Amino acid sequence: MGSGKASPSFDAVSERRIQGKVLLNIQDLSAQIGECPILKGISLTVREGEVHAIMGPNGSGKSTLSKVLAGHPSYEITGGTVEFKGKNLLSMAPDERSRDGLFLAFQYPQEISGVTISNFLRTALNARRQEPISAVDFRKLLQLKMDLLGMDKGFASRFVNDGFSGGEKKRNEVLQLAVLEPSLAVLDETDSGLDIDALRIVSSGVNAIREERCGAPAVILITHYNRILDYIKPDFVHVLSDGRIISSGGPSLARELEEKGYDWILQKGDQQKSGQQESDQGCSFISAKASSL
Amino acid sequence: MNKSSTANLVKRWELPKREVCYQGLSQDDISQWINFQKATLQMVSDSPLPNERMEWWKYTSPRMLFGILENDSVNYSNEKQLKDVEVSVSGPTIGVADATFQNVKTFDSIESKKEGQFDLLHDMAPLDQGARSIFFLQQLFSSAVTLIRVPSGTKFKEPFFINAKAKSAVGSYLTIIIVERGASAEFVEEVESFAGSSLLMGRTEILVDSEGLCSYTLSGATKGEHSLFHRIRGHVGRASSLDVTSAIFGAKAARIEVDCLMKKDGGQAKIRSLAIGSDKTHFDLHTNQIHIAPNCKSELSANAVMSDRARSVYYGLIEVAENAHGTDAYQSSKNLLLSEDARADSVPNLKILANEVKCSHGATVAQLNDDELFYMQSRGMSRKMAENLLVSGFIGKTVAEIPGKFGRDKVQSTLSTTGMSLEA
Repeated sequence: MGSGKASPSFDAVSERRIQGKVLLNIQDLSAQIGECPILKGISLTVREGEVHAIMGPNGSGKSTLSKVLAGHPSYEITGGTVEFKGKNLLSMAPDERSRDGLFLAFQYPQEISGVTISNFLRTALNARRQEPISAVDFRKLLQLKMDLLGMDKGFASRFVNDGFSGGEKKRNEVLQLAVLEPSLAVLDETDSGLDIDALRIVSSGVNAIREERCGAPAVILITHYNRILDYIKPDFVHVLSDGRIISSGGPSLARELEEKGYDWILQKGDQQKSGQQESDQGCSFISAKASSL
Repeated sequence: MNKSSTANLVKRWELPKREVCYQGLSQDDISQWINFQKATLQMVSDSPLPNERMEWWKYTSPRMLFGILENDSVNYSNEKQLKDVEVSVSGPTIGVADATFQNVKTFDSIESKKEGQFDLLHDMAPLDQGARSIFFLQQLFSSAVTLIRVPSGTKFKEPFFINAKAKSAVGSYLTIIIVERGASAEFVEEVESFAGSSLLMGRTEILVDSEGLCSYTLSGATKGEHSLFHRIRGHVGRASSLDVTSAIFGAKAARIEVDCLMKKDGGQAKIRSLAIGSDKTHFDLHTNQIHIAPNCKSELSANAVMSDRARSVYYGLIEVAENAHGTDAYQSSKNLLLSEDARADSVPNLKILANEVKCSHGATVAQLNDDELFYMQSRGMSRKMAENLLVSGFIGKTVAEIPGKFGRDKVQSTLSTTGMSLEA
C-alpha cells in the first residue's frame, strides 16, 4: 500500500473477509488545499464489513483523506480515482455520497443551533427515502437506536451539538451512524478529546451498531492512538505519513507502533520517497490547518 | 410628511361621529377617554411627525409607514369606515371587563408622579419628539380600547387571546394589560391586516405590579402593501417579571417599538423579537430598556432573517439612571441574510449614569455558514434542504425561548401560514 497496493491478507480475520465485495477502491489519490498538496498518492481497498485503522502523526493527511472522501469543497482532487460501490465517488456531491452509504463521523462536529437532533436526523433520514418516515415510526426507530447506545431519551430534543461536551458530540456522531445505517463509516479521530470512560462508551456504541446489523458497516478508523483499537478491533492497520500510506499490516502493526513509536516506520517511508523531489516545502502549516477543518 | 400635512389630516377628523369600541371600560372611563382624545387632537396639530433627520428614524422613512395618511382616498368621515379595528378578547373571563381607568390611576405599586394624573396613558418617558407625535396620533385614531386586568394573586394557566383585525385602510387600537400584585398570566395578541394597502397602528401598555409575572406575545404575518406600527410599553414593578415577544413576518413596512421601564427594585424584563422578511420588506425594531430602579435585569434578543431585497433595522438603547445601581442589561442582535441584496443594520446604544452596573451588547450579521451546510450535506441533505433547516433552526431557537406555551404555539402557527415549518 502507499505507493503499492493493499496486501491481500494479514491474519485469519482478513483471510476470511477478503472474500467480501469491494466497497471502496482508492487508487493513487492526490489532493491539495489551495496550492498545497496534502494527499500524494493514496491507494486503499476496503471490502464490506472490514475495519481499517489509519494511523499517523499530526499533519500526515489523515483528516484530509476523510474530508476528501466526504466531498469537502475546500479540497481539490489533483489525481487518482475513488470508486464506491463501483461508482465514481469523486463525481458525486457530498449529499449523494451520504445517501449512497458513506458516513463521516467528524473530528469536530458542527453546532447547528436551533435544530434538534431529532429534527436533524429525521430530515437526514427522509433525504434518503422515497416516502417520508412518519413521526411515530421515526420516534420508535430513534428510541431503538438510543436504547442500543444507552442514551438518555432527552438527548434527542437538544439542539445539534449546541453546548455539548466533547464526549457528547462524539456520541451524537455515533447516534447518527446508528440511525443512517451507512455501508461505510469513516470515523475521524472519534477518540480525540475523550476520557477513558467516554472512549469506552463511544467505542462500544460503534461495536453495538456493527453487531446489530447483519451487514455490518465497514469502518475506516482514523486515529492517533492505539487505545481505541483496544475497543474497536481492526482487520488492517495503515500508517499514513506525508500524504502517503507508508506501511500496512494487521493488528500487530498497531501494537508495534505502540511499542516503538512512529519514528522507525517513518524512516521506512522516507526511504520510499527518496529521490522524489518535494515541491511542497512550507506547506506543513497549511496542511495542519486543513486537517483541523 | 411634514407638519402641514398632519394638520390637513386632522382637519378631516370628525371626532363626535366616531364610534369607538370600548371593552372593559365604565361610562366614566369612556367619557374620560373621549376627552383625552379631544385633547390629543390639539397635540397632534402641534407636534410634527418624525422625519429621517431625527436620530431614531434615520434608517426608516416615516413615509414608508404613515404615507397612507396623506392619501385622499382615506376618508375618515365615512360612516362605513368608522370601525377601523375590530378587537376581540378571549380568555379567563374574570380578568376581562373588570377594571376601570380609575384602577390604573391608583395602581398601588407604580405610583403616579402627580396625584390624579392618568399616568399610564400620559407617561411620555422615554418618548422623543417624533415618537410623541405618533403616540398622539395613535391615541387620536384609536377606535378600540381594551383593558384587561388580572386581579391580585390570581394565577391564570389559560392565556388571554387578543385578536386585532383591521377593517379599513387605517386603523389604530389600544390595549392595556394590568397584572396585579403576585398575579401571573400569559397574553397572546394577533394582528390581522386589511386587504390591500393599509396601516395598522397598535399600542399595548403592560403594567406588571410587584411579584407579578407576565408573558406577552405579539404575532402577525402579512403580505402585500400592508404596514404595521406597534408600540409595546412595559412598566415593570418590584420583583416582577415581564417577557415580551414580537414575531412579525412579511409586512411591506413594519416598525415595532418596545420599551421596558424598570421602575421598581428587582424587576426583570426580557424582550425578544423575530422578524422574517422577503421581497422588499422593511422591518424596524426599536427598543428602550430604561432602568430607573436599582437591581433590575433586562435582556434583549433581536433576530431577523431577510431574503431578496428585504432590510432589517435594529436600533436600541439601554439607559441606566444614576440611582439604578446593580443593573444587569444586555442587548443581542442577530441577523441572517439569505441573499446578496438583503441588508441589516444593528445600532445598539448604552447610556449609563450609574457606577455599579453590568451592561453589554453584541450584534452579528451573517450569511449561512458553509461548514454547517457541509456537515448537513454529509448527512444526505441536499443543499436546499440544509439551507432550509439552518434557517428554521435560527428561527426555531428564538421560538423555543418564548416562555409561554400559547405564545410559542401562536408563533409557530403564524409561521406555518407563511409556508415555513420548524419541524421536518
